[in-house]
Amino acid sequence: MQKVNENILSSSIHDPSGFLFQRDKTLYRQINLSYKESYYLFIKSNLYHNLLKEHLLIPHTETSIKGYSKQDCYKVIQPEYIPFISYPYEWCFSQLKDAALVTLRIQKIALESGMTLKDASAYNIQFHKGKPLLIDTLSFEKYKEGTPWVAYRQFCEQFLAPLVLMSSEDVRLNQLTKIYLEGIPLDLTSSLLPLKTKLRPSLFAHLHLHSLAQKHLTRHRFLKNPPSVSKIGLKGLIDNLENNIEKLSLPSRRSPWNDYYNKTNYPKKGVIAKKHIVSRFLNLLKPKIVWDLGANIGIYSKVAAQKNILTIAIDNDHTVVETCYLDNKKVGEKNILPLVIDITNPSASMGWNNQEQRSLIERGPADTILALALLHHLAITHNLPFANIARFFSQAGRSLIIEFIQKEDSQVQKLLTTRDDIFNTYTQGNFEKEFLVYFSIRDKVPIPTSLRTIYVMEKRNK
Amino acid sequence: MYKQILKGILIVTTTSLVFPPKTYAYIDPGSGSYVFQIVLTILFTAVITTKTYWKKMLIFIKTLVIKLIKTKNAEGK
Repeated sequence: MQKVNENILSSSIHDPSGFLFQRDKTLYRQINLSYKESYYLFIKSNLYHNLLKEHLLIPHTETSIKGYSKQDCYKVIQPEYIPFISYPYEWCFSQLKDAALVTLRIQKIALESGMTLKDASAYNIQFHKGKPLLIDTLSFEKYKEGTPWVAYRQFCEQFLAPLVLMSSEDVRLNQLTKIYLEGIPLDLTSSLLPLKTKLRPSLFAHLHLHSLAQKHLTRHRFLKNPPSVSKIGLKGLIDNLENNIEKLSLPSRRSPWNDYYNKTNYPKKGVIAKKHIVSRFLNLLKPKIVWDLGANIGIYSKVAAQKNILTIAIDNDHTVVETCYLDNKKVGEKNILPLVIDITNPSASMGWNNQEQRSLIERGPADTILALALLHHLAITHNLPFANIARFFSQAGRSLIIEFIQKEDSQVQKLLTTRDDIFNTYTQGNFEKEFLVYFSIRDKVPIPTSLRTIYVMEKRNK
Repeated sequence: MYKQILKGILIVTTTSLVFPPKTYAYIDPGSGSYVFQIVLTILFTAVITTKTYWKKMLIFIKTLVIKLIKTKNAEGK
């Protein structure tokens, strides 16, 4: 008898209503008996269909397969597959903002159907086909008239706090969500925020006063005998959060990378030629998922996306990722997911037992890695030897489209302006030698009127 | 009801001024959030209800004035 290969996904272990498990490479969600009534109401109230109509929830199909733990199992559903999971600390400002607005919209629709969101975790939102949606089907419970929103605090800590910090102080403060996976503590948020946020009544209330209340109202008599909270007031609270989040924006911040393509050292013809070469190599490899590392605003990601390839456009500069996301949102691009990740320090495995949030490498390998105008930064700016770069790429992807830029190129020379040239091994010959340990070269094409060559490589079977 | 709201706001504002910004006691921030949300939601209920009645009152006054003007005009003719 063939052994069934199955395991529970660590990301769903906190939920008593059910969990995700993988069986023979297919992802399922077990609904526990304890969630039976809520699930029945969720379907019967049409909440499921209303959310699907607005593309706010991941669709699923009910299956007749056996549950992972048979005693507790009520039903097993199969959610639509999301090919790449991303985390809030990898999103740009507008991605987090859209995820927050989607959460509030869902809560409003749920209230209309007599249900409420029992949690408001940013990790329950994923970007799928260009849009944020809720992936946790078991996030709803019956709304009990007169009760407050149980996920209010979580919403403030996971969405509002990082958004206001990014908008009012510094966009890089989103990285705090990497340390505080449950949300940025409100006392810390309040101490980091500038005075001007205290002058905006709603922000003052939801963040500053809220933080003080967390410290000083822990034994209030309302905890024993809570007064009834009207649905009107609850909707008012959601509307107020929604209005305030909609108003949040990033101060205009100049990034040297935003203008990168206007300042290339080769003519426009070269850019067009480069696009053609990338397109030809993608046709050769036929990948389903591409990771475009150092994607900038994603002009080469678009070449892949136009071929209906899911393209994860990764860059460590927040401003370019923001531009990439907003540009793609405007045109309704479904195949590009821009993310803020520093590939010299990629997202690590985190959470309980280091297994809840997976590292970037664990979410791979991608079918193809695009590494255009990146190698010289890794080798010269970060002093990374070719051998280590090649090993990293061989772990991250099954094939590679990579650009080699000769040392005489003015962009490389710029990197050497303020430092000694200790990079004797930075030669095309050495590059090929080290990469051949992990890859076989299928083709290489020089970019006309430049000192650049693009290679297409495939990982060796070891 | 309004007294309760005012009392809630007063408690939070006073404590914010009197207590130091950092405390290290064993506390559950969830409880404080819960109480705070109740206070905030009651406040929103009061504001929304007042707004609704205010709008209704304005419409009522407007209709009344229009009626009066129409009656006056009709009498004038």
